[in-house]
Amino acid sequence: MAINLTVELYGNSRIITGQKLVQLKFADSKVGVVEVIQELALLFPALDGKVLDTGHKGLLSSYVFNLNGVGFQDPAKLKLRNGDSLLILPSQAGG
Amino acid sequence: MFGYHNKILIIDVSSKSWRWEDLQEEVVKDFIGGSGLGAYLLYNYCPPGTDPFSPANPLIFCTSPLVGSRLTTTSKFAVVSKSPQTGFIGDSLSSSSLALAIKGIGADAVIILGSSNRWLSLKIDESGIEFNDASHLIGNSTSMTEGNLIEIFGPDYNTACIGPAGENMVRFASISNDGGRQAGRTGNGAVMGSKKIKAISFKGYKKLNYFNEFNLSQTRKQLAIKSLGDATEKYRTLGTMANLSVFDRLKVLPTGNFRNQSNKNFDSVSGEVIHKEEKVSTSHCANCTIGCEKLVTIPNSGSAKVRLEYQSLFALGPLVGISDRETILKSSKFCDEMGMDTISAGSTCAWFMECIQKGLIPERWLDLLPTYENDEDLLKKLLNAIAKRSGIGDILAEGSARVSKEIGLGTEDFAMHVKGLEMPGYEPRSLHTMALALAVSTRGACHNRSSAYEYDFASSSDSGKLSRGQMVVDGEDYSAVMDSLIWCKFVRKVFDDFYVESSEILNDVTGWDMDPNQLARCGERINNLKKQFNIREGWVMDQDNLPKRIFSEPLSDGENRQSLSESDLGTMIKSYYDAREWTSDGLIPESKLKSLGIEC
Repeated sequence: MAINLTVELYGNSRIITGQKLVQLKFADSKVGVVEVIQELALLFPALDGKVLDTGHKGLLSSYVFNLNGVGFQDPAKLKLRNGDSLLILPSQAGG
Repeated sequence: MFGYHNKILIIDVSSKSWRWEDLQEEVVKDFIGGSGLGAYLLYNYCPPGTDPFSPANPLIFCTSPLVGSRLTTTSKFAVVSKSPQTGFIGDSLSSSSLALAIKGIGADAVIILGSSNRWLSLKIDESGIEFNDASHLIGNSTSMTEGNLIEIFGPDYNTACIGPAGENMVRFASISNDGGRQAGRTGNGAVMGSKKIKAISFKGYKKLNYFNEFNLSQTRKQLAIKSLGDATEKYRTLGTMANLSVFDRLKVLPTGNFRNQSNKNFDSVSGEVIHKEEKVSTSHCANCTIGCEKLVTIPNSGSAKVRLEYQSLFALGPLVGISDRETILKSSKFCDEMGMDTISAGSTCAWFMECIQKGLIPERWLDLLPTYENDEDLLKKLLNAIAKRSGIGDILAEGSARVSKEIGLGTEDFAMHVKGLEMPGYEPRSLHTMALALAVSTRGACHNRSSAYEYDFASSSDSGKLSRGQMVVDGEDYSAVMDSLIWCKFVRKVFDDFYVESSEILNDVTGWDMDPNQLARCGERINNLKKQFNIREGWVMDQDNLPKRIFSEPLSDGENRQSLSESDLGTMIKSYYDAREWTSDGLIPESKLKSLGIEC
């Protein structure tokens, strides 16, 4: 079953892409963050090395994932479902 | 001693005299510098029971062993006094060339005692002190004052000054330096005003020796490189204003005086939109490689710029229910120019605006209210009145805690402060570790002395099995060391192992042999001394608390309900006291003080 995800971009990731939201569609329901990262890298090569790690396995340490705005989880344990919003946020919370 | 001058300059503005005292090595080994040394000096130089506006309240400027080392972000100083907002320890930090100039006169700390009978401007350099008449500066904004003194003394002098708010002893007045940087919280500007000191200008180039200059030169380079990496990316690109859109999305952005019922869209005041639609430039403190400061050109104001931080954006925008960008930028600039803490100013206005909406203004004050067209106009007029203590501003200048107590009628329940210090922009009903930290902080509702929000923003696996009490203790002790060495908080993630690297650096500066555990112990000692000061000044357990609104009005966005009960907070406070090895009443046992080497 295909799943649709919304990726919400914050901080410099929004500045670089000029996008607040990105809609992604995956044919395989077993999608994880690595697939999301690879898709974003294709759509926005400028994120490479600035937000996404150059191996396209995850985010640089300056960014974190948040699922649906309700909790911070280990990316490896994230289970993405149809209709989810995946937030990419600056990891430094201070100020 | 390497890294220190071993000297404290003590100035009495009543008698216009000064003297030097020795600073013992044992003291700085225990309390380091900055906020820690300031706490030690306050404990010893402030007589018990002193009124914050009494001449006996010391106004203390503290440097640190790292000031002058040219390590990135270390040009910082602490200002410490008994706070006119809380009646407890008041400490705030600021940055840049002034820190170098204070240390350059040969002082590790400057303590100002007494009170003048006329307005003074102090000129301090290696040759001595001039007590100059400052009547011509009275009424001037902070930038005008700094500018005037540069014209008179020359650009080699660095100035700390107050604006009209400090002159008028607005309880949340700040001290401004280096072109608008603020020692903002806890009302040190009001204490400076109570002493009738408009400005203090420092010039000094006294050199210090460092124990291992070779190691330090290597560390300087390594830290400078690391400080430009991922760990500081947010601060370098958008600055702290990047928080707004994130906090809004995560529902931890307090709005409408923490009612969080606003239908307004705050997109237009997010860091991302400001960055895109306004002219934004970057500025650095002296010896800083990060450059977190974002100077935003204010629309329709010529070339005027404001140094915009998240907390100012929050307090003068969402907190007061305002989303008009120009109003927020102008209000932030106005507070800086008048020398007022933006958090306390915004929060006091937010509380008062809610009182107006609910018809809770006492009849005797109605004539004092300004006429206004809308909330934006009201905010502008209230801030102006507070800074000048005119009309209703003379009352609001006392801060939301005091004024709500005077009004009564339940307005105390939504005066959003802890111990008299208004709350920063972190939602305690969602961020429970932060809620605990706000409740127990020795300086009132403070986000900077624990960084406890980091635990709330981390995944649960990152925090292991620590109790919330232990998390806050760890955060407070870590922050106390940072604020005493003094590192900028924005460099904290640059370290792989903070205590190991910081103790090595401290040893390279001083020639000591301090191990990481001993350095961590300094943080614990500093926080215990701050608490002991508060206990001496009348702290009672009920004051470790949050405003009633937090408990009585849960947040709801349909599916999710965020709440914090009084009993849940009580449980967390107990776990904090346990982790601190304090009594169940939050007092410090004699044995604990003894084990930390604190003599009271």
